[in-house]
Amino acid sequence: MKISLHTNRSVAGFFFCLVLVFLFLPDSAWALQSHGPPEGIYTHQMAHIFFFVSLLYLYRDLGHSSSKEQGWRYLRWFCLLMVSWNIVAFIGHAVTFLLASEYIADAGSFFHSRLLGPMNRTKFLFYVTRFDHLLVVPALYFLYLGLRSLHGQVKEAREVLENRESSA
Amino acid sequence: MSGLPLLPSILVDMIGSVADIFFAFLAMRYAYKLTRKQPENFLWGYLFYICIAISAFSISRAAGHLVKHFFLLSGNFDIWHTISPYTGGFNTLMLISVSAVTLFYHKGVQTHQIMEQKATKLADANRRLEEAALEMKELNFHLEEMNTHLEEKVRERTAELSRSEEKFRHLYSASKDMVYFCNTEQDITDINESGFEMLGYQPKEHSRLNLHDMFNTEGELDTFFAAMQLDGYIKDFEAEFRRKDGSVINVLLSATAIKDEQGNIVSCEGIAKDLTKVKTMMEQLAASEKMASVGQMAAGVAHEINTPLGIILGYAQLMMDDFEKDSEPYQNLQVIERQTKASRKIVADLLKFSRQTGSARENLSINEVLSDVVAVTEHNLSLDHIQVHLDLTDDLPPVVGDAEKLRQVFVNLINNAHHAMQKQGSGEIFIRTWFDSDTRQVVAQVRDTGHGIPEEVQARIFDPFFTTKPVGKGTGLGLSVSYGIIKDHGGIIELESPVTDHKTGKIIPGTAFRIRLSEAKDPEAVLESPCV
Repeated sequence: MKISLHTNRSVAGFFFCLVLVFLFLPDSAWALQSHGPPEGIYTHQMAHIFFFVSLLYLYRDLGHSSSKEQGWRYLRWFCLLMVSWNIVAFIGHAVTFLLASEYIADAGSFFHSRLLGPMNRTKFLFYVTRFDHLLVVPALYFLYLGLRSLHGQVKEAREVLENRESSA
Repeated sequence: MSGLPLLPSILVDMIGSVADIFFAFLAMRYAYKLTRKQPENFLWGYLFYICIAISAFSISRAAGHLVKHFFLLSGNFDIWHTISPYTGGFNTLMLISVSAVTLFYHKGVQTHQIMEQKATKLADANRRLEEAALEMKELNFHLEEMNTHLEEKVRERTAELSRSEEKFRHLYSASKDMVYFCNTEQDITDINESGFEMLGYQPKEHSRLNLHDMFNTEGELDTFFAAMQLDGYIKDFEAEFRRKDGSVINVLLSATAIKDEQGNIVSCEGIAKDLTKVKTMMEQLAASEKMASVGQMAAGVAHEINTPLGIILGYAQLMMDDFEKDSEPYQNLQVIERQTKASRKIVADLLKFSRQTGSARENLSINEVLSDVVAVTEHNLSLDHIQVHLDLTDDLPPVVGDAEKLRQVFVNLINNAHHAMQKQGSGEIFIRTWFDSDTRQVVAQVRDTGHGIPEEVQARIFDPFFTTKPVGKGTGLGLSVSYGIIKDHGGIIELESPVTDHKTGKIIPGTAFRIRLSEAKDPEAVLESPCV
């Protein structure tokens, strides 16, 4: 019951903050609001935040409510990596949004595209965050490992039960 | 040209996109398997939904990236710019979906836990119910088993009780001794048939019976009560019980008091054995021993007196030759001779009583002996208006004996009957013979209708010299001699006075003598008894 109240409070807090953002950063005060070009990236970033929060939430719940078996530990690793990926992706999207359009030169071929110099912190972040798959792939790998481990446990338990029933 | 090449990131993006799809689908496959193995488990369903969302997200994102790379490589920048908002929007949609599904986990798990708890409780309740049902079943089985055993035991015990009750009931009803139960008021509450028979009551009269009525003397009753109060029982107590007709029987009584928890007597039970016959037999035995000793003494005395009497008689007869017949000395000597002969007869009778005389034994018919005796005595009896009734059973077996001595016995009995009825001026004598097949004895009975013999003298009538006749009328040796002769024959002489009629059962005044002689085993034998 304590966990339940705490959870409800956290969700309510999150939505309250979201409402405050909408209230204090109005793009238009009209009732029928038009959606300009930056709205897509905002929505996407908010989705990352939402995913980030929900993964942290899941990470905490898995630690609290699930057993300490290997499969569940793999799932927690999945959560942590995906949380990290969300951060990286969020930053990546932000720096891409901040950079000027002439930061990439294709030199006649997409494979020969280059990040134009001179390099600064924003460009560096842009470059690094483009390797986000280095987090996503391990995360999904842990998701796979976790489910495979849980499946193996269930299968083993079932076989033991069936053997016991057949011997009885 | 300065800057950094983007090729590594492009390659990582392309390979990573493929890997994303691959692992997402692998994870979804195992999640699906889990849902198949345990469909009832919410968690697997939830993980399956997450995997679906992740796979969808991976496809949207990876496919978007691959399409982007495809169009950019092929130089179709315009097309990519046209569709990129759609792939980006779809990607955002999938991201939100995954987030929503992920967020749902907590509530789902909570619901699942509540359901699991309820299911566990329900399962526990079911398990307890099953256990209770099993216990009830076992209990029921045990109860049924116990019930079955109980029924069997009840049947066995009832049968045992019935057998026991039957056994004791038979012992109670078939006992030849009196068995009785009485209450604190000394009323007889239950008594067996032998008890009724012993006391001369009918079974329906038991409500009238009381210990005060049963005991002949108050002293014995007081002794009985004192023993019951003091010891709670009395054993082998010789008492006299009074019959309904007033006659008295001798009993050997054993009784036990039944007490309640406080030690108060609530009832008593007792067994009484009729000793009347035993007592009579004991008295007869004592009399018999007395008669034997008297007989021995009489024989000795007779033997000693017989010699001087013979000498007195001889000398008296010799002296009679010396005197004239009309002379006074001669008449005096005649008196001496007569009295001496009378004395010798008495001595001879004494010898007969003590069986000191010889006798010849042969097979003879009691009926013939009695006919001879009646023929001799009938005349004298008729003079005193005494009628003789002969009731002789034909085909009686012979007995072994001395006919002369048996005649003497019956003459004595008839003479006694004659004397008993002489005063009343008339009377009847019933002579009857029969064969007692139980004892294999020939019985001859001589019964008169005289005044009978008082009970107090009945025990003495066979004593030598005992007589109720006036002085000079009898010597008191008749019945003694008869007793001696019958005993010498191995028989029994019985007295009954007054007499119980064997046909009607009524009490008749008078006296009956019964002679019992054993039937002859060898009908042709003739035995000689030594003469002393």
